[in-house]
Amino acid sequence: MASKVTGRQATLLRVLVLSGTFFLAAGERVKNKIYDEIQGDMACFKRFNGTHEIGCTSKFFGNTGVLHVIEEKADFDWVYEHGPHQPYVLAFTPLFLTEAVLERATDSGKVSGVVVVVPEDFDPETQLLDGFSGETECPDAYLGLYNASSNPDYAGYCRKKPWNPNGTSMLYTSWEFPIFLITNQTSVNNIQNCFEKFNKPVNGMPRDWPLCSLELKSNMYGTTNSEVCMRRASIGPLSTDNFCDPLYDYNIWGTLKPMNMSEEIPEKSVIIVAARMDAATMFDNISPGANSAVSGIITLMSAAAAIFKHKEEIINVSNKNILFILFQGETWGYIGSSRVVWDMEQGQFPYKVKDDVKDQIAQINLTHIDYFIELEQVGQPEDINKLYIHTDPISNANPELKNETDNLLNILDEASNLVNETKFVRVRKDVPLPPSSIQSFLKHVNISGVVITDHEGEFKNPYYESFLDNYRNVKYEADNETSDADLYHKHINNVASVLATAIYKLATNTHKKITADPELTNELLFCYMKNMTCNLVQEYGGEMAKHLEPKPAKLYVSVESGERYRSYVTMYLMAGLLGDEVERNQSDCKIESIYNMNHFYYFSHLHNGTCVQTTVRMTEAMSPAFLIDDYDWKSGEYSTWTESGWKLTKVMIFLRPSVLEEVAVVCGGVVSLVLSVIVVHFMNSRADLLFGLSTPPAAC
Amino acid sequence: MNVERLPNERKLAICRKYFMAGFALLPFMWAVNAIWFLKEAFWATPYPEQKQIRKYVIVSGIGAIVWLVGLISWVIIFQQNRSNWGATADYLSFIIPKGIP
Amino acid sequence: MTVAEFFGCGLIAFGPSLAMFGLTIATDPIRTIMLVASAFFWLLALLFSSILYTAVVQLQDYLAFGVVFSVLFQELFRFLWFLLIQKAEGGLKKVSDGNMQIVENKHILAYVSGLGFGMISGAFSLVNVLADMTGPGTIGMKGDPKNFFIASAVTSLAFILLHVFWGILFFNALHRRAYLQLAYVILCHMLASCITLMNPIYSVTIPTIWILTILSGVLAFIVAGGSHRTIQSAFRGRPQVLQVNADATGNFTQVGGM
Repeated sequence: MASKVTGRQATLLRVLVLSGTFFLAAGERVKNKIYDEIQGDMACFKRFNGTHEIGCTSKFFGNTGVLHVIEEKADFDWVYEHGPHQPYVLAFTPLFLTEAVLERATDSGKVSGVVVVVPEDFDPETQLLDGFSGETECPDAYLGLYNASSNPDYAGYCRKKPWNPNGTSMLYTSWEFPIFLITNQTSVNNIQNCFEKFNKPVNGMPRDWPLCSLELKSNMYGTTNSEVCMRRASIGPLSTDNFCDPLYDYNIWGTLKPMNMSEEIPEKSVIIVAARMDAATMFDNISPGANSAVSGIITLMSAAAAIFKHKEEIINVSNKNILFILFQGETWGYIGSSRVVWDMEQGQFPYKVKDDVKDQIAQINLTHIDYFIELEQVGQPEDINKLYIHTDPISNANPELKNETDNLLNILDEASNLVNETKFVRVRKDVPLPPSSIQSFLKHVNISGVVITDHEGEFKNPYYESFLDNYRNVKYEADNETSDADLYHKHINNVASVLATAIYKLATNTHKKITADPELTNELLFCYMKNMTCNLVQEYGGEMAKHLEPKPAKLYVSVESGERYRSYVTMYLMAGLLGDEVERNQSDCKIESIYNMNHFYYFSHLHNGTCVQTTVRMTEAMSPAFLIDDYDWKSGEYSTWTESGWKLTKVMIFLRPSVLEEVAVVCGGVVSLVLSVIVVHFMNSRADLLFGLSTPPAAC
Repeated sequence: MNVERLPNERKLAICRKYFMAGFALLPFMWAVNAIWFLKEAFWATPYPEQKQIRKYVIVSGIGAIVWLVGLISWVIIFQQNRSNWGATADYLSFIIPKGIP
Repeated sequence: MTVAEFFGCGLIAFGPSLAMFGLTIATDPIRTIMLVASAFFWLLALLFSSILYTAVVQLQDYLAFGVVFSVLFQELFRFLWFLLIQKAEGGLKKVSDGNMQIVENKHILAYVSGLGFGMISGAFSLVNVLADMTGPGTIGMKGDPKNFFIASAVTSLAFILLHVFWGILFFNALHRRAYLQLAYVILCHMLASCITLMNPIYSVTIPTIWILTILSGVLAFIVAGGSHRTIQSAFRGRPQVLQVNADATGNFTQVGGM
C-alpha cells in the first residue's frame, strides 16, 4: 500500500502520520532522493527479419552497472584491466561509438550497458573525421535489384565500390547489452558530475564505495526472428502481447488530376515522381534523416506545389497524369515501394474495386507507368551546382527502353539548362543504381526511370542513417521559417525548379521554365529539419499537428500502433500543396468513402477554416510478406522486418552502497531482534517478580 | 474425516474408490490415497481388510511417484528444448515467456 | 541489491515489537484483538489529523503545525480508547474465558494498547522509506545524509517503544487521576515529535529521543510496580514474596509489560 502513495498523499502521510516522521525534505518521496531518472527515451531496441535479430535489450529488471565515463582511449584499458567494480556501464561520446569498441566491451564481460552522451559542444564535423553510419556499406542490397541470383554482373558492384563506405553495420548487429543515446544536456551533466564526484579514479586508483551507478531498462519482448515472434504473437490465449509487429506506416501520394474509374487510364500515361519518406537510427525517438530523406521529401513537395500551379495547362493539352509519392519504410527493405508494386500486380492499387461507390478512384497498374523519377539524397553535392543522374544498366539494355530513357535524360538536361542553376551529370552507364525505390519496380517491370542524387559513386553523406544526419550535416542554417540568407534552401529550391520544369515538358511536350517557391521550400525545410511545431505545420498540418514536439521530424517508420503524427501532417501538407480550395464548411468537408477519387481536407487554422479538395491520400505501407499466406520468411523476396514490443525504456542514476555496509545493516537488524527476544522473554517469564505482583497496582 | 474412526469395510471402500479414480489420469488421487491411508495400511492394528488396503496404498504410491517423475522429466525436457522445437513448442505453450528465445 | 538494507533496517525498527508481539501478545487471542483495536484507534487519529490538514490549506506548508495537531489527535484518541475499554470491561470479563488476568491487571491492557499504537505508527512512519530501500540504490547522491536509513530505523524504534511506555503511563495516570503524569505523556510526545523537525541533524535528534525513551521506560517500569529490588529478585530468579499461583510453566502468572 505504501509504495503506491505518491505526491500529495505522501506529503500528507509524512507530515501527519507521524510523530515519528523523519523529515528529509518536506513532502518528497525517499525514492526521489535516491534515484534520478535521466533521459531514457532514446534506447537501442530490437528488430527482426526473417532470419536474424538486431539491436539491444536489457534484462527483465534492467541492467545495472557502475558508471564509468570514457574521456580518452586509455580509460577503456583502465576499466578492462584494473576496474575492480564490475559490471560497468560505460558512458562516452559518439567519438567512441564504433564496432570495435562495442565488440571489445562485449568480449571483456565487464560491461553491462553503454550510454552514448552527446554534449552540447560535440561537433561531429571536427571530431568524427571518419563519418558515422549505422547502415551497411551496401544499404538494402539484399532486397534490391542486383542480388547475385538475378544479376551476377552487377551483384558484386557495391562490394567492390561501396555506396556507403562509412557504413559500420552497427544498426544490423545484435548487441548483448542495452545502449542508450542521451542528448538532453541536464542528463549529460548529471552523468558527468556524478562520475566526477564519486567514481573518477584518483591517480589511477579506483574509488571506494558508494559508487555512482546506472540502471538501464529496455527489456524487449521479441526474440530470434520475425518468423518466431510473429508466430508467438498470433498464438496462445493471451495473444494480445506484442512480441513483435511488422514495420508499418503509410505511403503518401496524390496525382495532378483525379482518376475516375469510369474513364480508362491510357497505357504509359502516369509519370511517377518519388522520394523516400523514412530514415532510421539505432535509437528510438530520433531519426532526423536530413539528407537521406528530408532533402528528397522537400524537393518533391516543392516541385509538386510548383507543378500544381500549372495544373489546368497540363490537363488541357495532355492525357498524362503525374503521381507524386512518398514511399514509407524504404530503409527496411523497400517496404513502401514493394507494397505498391505488389498491389499493382494484384490489381488492387490503391484499392480493390468496390461495387457501390460513385466517383471511385481508378486502379493503376504497372503498365500505366510512363516515367519514373526518383529523388534520393540530393542535399549535399560536392559542387553546389552539380547533381547526378543514375540509370539502370540492365533494363536499358533493351533498345526501346533506352530510347525512352535517353529522352528523359535529355529533357532533364534541357530543364536544367532552362533553370540554369543546377547541372545534371549522367553517371556512367555500366554503374548500377544506388539504393532506391525504383529497384522494387524494376524487379517486376521494365520502365524507364532515373534516380537523382548528390553523389556519383559513394555517398556524400557521412552520417547516412545515423542520428547525426541532421540539419548540421547538410549545413541548413536558417534560424526561422522566413530567413532567406540560408544557401541550402536555395539549392533544394533549384533542384525542385529543374524537376518541375522537366515534368512539365514530359507531360505537355513544351518547354516552360517553372520556378519553385523558395519561401515555401525554406518553410518546409525548417519544419522537418528543426521544428515540427512551425507555423506552416500549424496551419496546414491538420489536427494531428498539435501532437508534435518542437523538434526535428522523427522519420522512423515504426509499427501499426506506433507514433505516426509526421505521416498525417505530411499528408495534410501534401493535400494543401496539391489541392483546390472549395466552398464547404467543416461539417461537409469530409470524404464519403476512402474509395472516392477526391478527398477533402479541412484546415481549421487557415483563414478561419478552409476546405481543400485533392487526390492526396495515404495507402498502407506494410511489407507484402505479412499478407502472403505461408510466405517463406527466408526467401528474401520482400522485407520481413518487424520491431520488438516493449513496455518501457528508462535510465536511472543512483549511488550503490558497499556490500560491507549492507552486511553491517543486516547484522544490526539481527542483533536488534535477538536482543529483544532475550529481554522480552526474560521480562515475560519473570514478570511476577519484576513487577512485584504481590502488591497489585494501586487503582485496581 | 478421521479414517481411524470409520468401520473397516468403509475404509476399504474409500481406499478402493480413490485407487480407481486415479486411473482417470488423476495422479493426485493416488498421492492422497497413499498418504491418507499410509498409517492404516502399515501401522494400524491388523484387521482383515488391511491387506487389501495395503495393496492399494502401495500401488497408488508407486503410481503417484511414476507420475511425478514423468511430469518432472517432461517439464525439464520441455524447458530445455523449447526453443529448439520451434513452432511445435510454441503451440504446446500456454504462456510464452517474453524476451526469451 | 539493497534488499539487505530493507531487511536490516526493518529488523532494527521492528525487531523489538516483533519479539514483544510474538512472546506476549500472540499467545492470547484477547490481547491480539485489543492490540488490533487500539491500532485502529491510532488510524482514526491519523484520519482526523489528515482531514484537518487537508482542510487547513494555508498551513500545509508548515510541518510543525501538522506535527502538533497530529500529536494532540493521537493523545485524544488514546483517551477515547481508554474510555471505550473502561466501558467494555464487563464484556471483556465475559469473553476472557475464565482468564481474569487481563481485567485484573490494568497494566496489561495499557501495555497492549501502547504496543498497538506503537506498531501501527512505526509501520506508517517507516514503510514508505522501507519500500524505497528495496531498489538497487542507496541515499547520498544529492548530498543527503548517508545514514538516513539507519537513523530512520532507530528513530522509528524509539517511537514504537515510546508509545508502549506512554500507553502504560497514560492509562495509569487516568486510573489514579494523576494529572501530572498525564501531562508528562502529552508533553513528552510533543517534545519527541517536534524534535524530529530538526532532522537531519541526527546527532541532536536521536540522542534526545532516546533519552526521552529511556526516561519514559523507567517511569513506566516504576508505575507498573518495578523497582531496583524487583530487578534484583528477578535476576536471582527466586520469588521473594510468596507466589500462590506460581506454576512451573509460568503460564498462569504471565504478565505483560515491561
